[in-house]
Amino acid sequence: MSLSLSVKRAVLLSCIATAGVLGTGVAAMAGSPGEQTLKNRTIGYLMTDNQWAIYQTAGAKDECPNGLSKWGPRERFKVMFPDNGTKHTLKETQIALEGSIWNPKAGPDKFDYAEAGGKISYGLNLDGKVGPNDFTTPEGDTGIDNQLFRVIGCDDNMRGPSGPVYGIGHSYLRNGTFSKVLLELTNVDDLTNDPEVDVTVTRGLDKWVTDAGGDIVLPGGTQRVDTRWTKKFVQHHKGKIVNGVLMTEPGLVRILNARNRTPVEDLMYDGRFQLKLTAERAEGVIAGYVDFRRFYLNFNREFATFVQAYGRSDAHAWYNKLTELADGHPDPKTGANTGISGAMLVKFAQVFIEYPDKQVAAKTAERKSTH
Amino acid sequence: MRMMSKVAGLTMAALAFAAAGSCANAAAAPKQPQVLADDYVAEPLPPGFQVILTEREGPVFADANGLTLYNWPRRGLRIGAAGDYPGKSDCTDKRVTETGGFMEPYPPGLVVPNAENRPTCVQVWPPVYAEEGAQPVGAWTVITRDDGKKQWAFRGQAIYTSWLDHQPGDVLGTSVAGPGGRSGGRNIVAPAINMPPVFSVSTTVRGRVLRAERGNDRAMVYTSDRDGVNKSNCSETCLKDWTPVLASALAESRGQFTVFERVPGIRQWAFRGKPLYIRGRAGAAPDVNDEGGSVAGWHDVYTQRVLAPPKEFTVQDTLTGDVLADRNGKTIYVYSCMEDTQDQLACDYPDAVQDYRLAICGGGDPVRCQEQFPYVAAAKDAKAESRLWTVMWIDPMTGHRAKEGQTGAKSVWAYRERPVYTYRDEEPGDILGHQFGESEGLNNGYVGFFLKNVYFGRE
Amino acid sequence: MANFNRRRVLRGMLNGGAVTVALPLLNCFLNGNGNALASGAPMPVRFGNWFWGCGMNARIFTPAKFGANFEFPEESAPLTKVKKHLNMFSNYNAYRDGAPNLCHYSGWVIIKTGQAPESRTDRPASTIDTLVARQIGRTTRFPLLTATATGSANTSFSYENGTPNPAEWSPLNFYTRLFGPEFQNPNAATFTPSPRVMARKSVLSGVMEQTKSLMAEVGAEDKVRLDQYFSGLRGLERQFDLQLTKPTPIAACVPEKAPKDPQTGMPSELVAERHDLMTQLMVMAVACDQTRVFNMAYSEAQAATIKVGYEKPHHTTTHEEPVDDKLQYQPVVSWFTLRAMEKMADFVEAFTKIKEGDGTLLDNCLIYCTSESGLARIHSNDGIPIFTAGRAGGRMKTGLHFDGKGTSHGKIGYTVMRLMGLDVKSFGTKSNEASSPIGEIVA
Repeated sequence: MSLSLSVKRAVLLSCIATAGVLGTGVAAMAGSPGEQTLKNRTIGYLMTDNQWAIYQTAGAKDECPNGLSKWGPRERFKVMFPDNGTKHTLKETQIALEGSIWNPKAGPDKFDYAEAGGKISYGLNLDGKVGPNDFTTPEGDTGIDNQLFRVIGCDDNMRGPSGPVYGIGHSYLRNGTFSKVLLELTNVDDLTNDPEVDVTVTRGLDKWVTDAGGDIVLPGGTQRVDTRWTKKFVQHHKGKIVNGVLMTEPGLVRILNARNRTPVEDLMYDGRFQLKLTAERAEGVIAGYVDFRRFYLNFNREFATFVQAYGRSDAHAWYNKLTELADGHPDPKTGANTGISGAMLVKFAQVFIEYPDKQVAAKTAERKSTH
Repeated sequence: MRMMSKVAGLTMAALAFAAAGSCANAAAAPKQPQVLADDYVAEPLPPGFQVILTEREGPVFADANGLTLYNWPRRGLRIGAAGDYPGKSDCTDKRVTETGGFMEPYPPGLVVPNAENRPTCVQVWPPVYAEEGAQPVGAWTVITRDDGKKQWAFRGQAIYTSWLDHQPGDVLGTSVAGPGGRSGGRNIVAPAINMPPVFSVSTTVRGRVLRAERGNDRAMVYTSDRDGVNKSNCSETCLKDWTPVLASALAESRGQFTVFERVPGIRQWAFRGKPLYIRGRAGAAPDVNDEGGSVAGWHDVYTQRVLAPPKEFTVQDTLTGDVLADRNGKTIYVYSCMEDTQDQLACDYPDAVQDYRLAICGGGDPVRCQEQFPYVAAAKDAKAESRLWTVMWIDPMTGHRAKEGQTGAKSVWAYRERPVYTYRDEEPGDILGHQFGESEGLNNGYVGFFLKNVYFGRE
Repeated sequence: MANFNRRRVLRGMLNGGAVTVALPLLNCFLNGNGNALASGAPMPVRFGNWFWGCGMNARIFTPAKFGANFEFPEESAPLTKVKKHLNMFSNYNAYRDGAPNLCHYSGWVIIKTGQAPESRTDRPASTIDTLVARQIGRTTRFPLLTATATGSANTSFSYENGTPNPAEWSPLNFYTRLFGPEFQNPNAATFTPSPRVMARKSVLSGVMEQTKSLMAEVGAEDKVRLDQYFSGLRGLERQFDLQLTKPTPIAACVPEKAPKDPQTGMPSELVAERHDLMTQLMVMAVACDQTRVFNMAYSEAQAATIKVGYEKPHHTTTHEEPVDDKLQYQPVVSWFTLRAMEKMADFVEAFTKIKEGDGTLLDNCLIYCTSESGLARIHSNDGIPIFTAGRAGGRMKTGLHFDGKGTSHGKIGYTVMRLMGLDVKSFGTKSNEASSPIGEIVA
């Protein structure tokens, strides 16, 4: 049940009295800078950056002591089908390999895999425990669950800023329109502390405003909501803001995440947002138990083998590791985990969200013919 | 040379279909009478050659038997290039048995499936030979192949027919747009459409869609239910969201395009009497393809429409547009395949080797294939209004055609004589099988049958 | 010189077909000082473009020193031999202003038009070469000539009003176009003379009498120049003849391999060979005033050049090759860039070999050399290097290295247009708009 306004104000005042330093530029009180973006207790944000959370050190020395990924499709092919005069057939080589990517089976693999390790990683404590496989964030938060980092952390494709998949993903988020994820925070009294806010996740339609270089998205733009094609995606989460940080309650989180030319959506069970909010930007993580089969399928749909070859991504090893390290959301029938703890590092820019007129909604009902 | 426009009716070879004007999406639209479709520019043709009006691709050039003509211009691939240089033909009777290594990261020299029996390029793409003494006509010339034979060429590119085409109006050799993926670089050879240069027409699964220049790019155009014949009622607030496609002072009506004055001194284009607009304000680009088509009272513009697919099919909304789906709402997929060989032959039809498809859909296991990408069952005598949709008998264990009554054979729906499939999608509107396969599903894989892929499509 | 027409060409017949042999700017066509045409008109200044794909690694490509007397580091070292003819522009950026980053496309479109494309089918404005050609290309036989070493007509970075100018991809076809009949009937059943005949017999044989007459009339210096020109032409023709001739079967021996088709294949040595042939032809065309605007593309934007023995072409290598820990760059990628720089140096140098007036042909050129990316591995549009070669008829200084400090490439585009005599107020739009030239470059 939603807290009444007066109760919320009382809670807010008590938080201010006891909390530490407030974040800069954060306010919803009269006369404060944030008031112009927080209107009618609502503020909107547009996702501008989204990468799978990989903690990186110089030269990958800490997290990848055995080096980065070695066995991409090209390297694997050479070992499996050496150029020694034997006439290989396509069926036993290339299409067999491709077939095994699309019909994966976890099992022994003679190719070693560079699994990421170390003590530090990004993410959240999803299970509320501090276990032997958990990480600590650079800020010192313990019990961080991010097994996905172990799978992809030493994959050269996935590491920024020059990893090809990293770069392509960043570029497509900028260039494309599919993944214009909007967060609409409503029932917000204060961007610094508010015990109960509502978060609606939806999608925008419009080009964003950037700097001249085209890379930095500027706050203050307007985004019309796509009510036509986004019905399946819209989500509602409950959350709170504490010391300028939004935290939502665990639930199914869906993120549109087209990193190339494929319309994909990632799923996180027990997923949650943790974002540092200002009147102009939001930044933080989205973490949860990533549906690993969906993650694997999406990656392969998005990135052809030749792209995977760029950074030596090893789909076979990925599937093995994803299966081995899955640590959440067990299948009710088999008990096998279907989710792997993971996180996305995300950034948002403040936007003004508009809903289009009802005409568009009416058109939806019209289009039910096959022709 | 003075251009003459020629209406499609002059070359109707066994094709009778309703070509809706600019009426797009209305489920309850009345069946249109036979009307003009694409209006093309006539040009001199070699003896026997003709123009055939096809259901999806519009007017195409055809040989004396009415078989569609194709060319194969040279184009760069990821590694190397394939196709014909102008004035030459690279399509030979040599049996190609190994891959060319055009697709990374796999090496060349791998023996292709069924190598010993693999058809040659000239079998799959019979050259259109020129008779002894044939003379050039207009843009049609005669080239000499390396084997000494004479072949017709159009604008310098050697031309061929497809062994998949059987009757006039068939365009089965290649896929132009939408589902069907790569076509091995083969294009249909077609006459120019009679329209002002500011417009272009492209083929989609729904029909031939009209676009107009917007800055340096091309945008979808729309018509409004509120307009009259050569009369625009879009003004003031309407103009905030819609930009009339204006005609210059010297522009003249041409073919099915007319110029009218929307207000004194300001001229606008109309198509079949319906004023044309682009979505968005002038100079600003809407971010989403075909956003205008989602607004009530506004419609995409087609120069011709395809006929209806099977009645039992449905349309489902996805995150990126609407797809054709089966009666249960499961997204329909088509399969696309092209061999990585110098002759770039397709492997996406039932008579081609099925090793590629079986590898992707089932890891080589046909049973798993049917579980992962089952065929879309059809009643054996089912028919669709559109000739693009047929029922065929398939042996699901081999993927090849079967005879009716053959053990295990199934009757399934096929689009352009290639079976269609569903996937292990969970809910209507799921498209998890889209781009499933090599190279985003285009070289050996599956793509969803999008009627409109709003966020990714470019038609 | 009353026997020779204003276009300074020799025309004749060969095997029943017309041939055309244009002449270079001989002294006899110039004024007494050799710095203007005999008519008083200034020496024509030509504008050229040279392109290579997949950028460079600034760490080892960009000279440390700015201004004069800079030294090329290892990846641009091949340019040292022509350094005195060059200007280099580093740290200039191609700004997209919110338009998408279309890999291997946005960069060169912005550089050549000053505007960012919105999609891969979007060709905003027109490329600089076509704008220059509108101004200075109207009086020559070809307003513009575009050629490539890749063997593909699609390798062109020139378009006008959205329509690409396809490239000459076959040296033989290019030769035929330059020296064949001026007007060819595409509907003719046969083309006479065929390129084979032209090459074997030499187009010069079709204009032999005129040539003799010309040689008798010109001065000693022009004789030398003509001799050099005709020899170069004949050398090219012999190469073509060799490539077109099937080898004679030798009894009891294994048949020799057929000569390589110069049209196909991307090993760097073959690309270099095609590039050299195209360069020779282009230099001839420019020297003989057949065109004053020319484009040469060494590679595609997604360069497909191959290193023999290495399995990946240039573009793939930029993505797949790891950065060497010690070197801190991708060594094979660098190898490809070096090959490109060698050819750029050769291209520039070729124009210095033609004497023209009191200098060389290059002195009367402004060649604009560009790529489409900075660091290709990450599809960066920052720091895409630009060079100019030549002195633009004395209007442009050379031997300087400019630090753009993040300025848009539009500034260079505007400077180049003004140096070519285009009276334009600005070049480019939004963040790429420039309306003042780089003053330090103007002589």
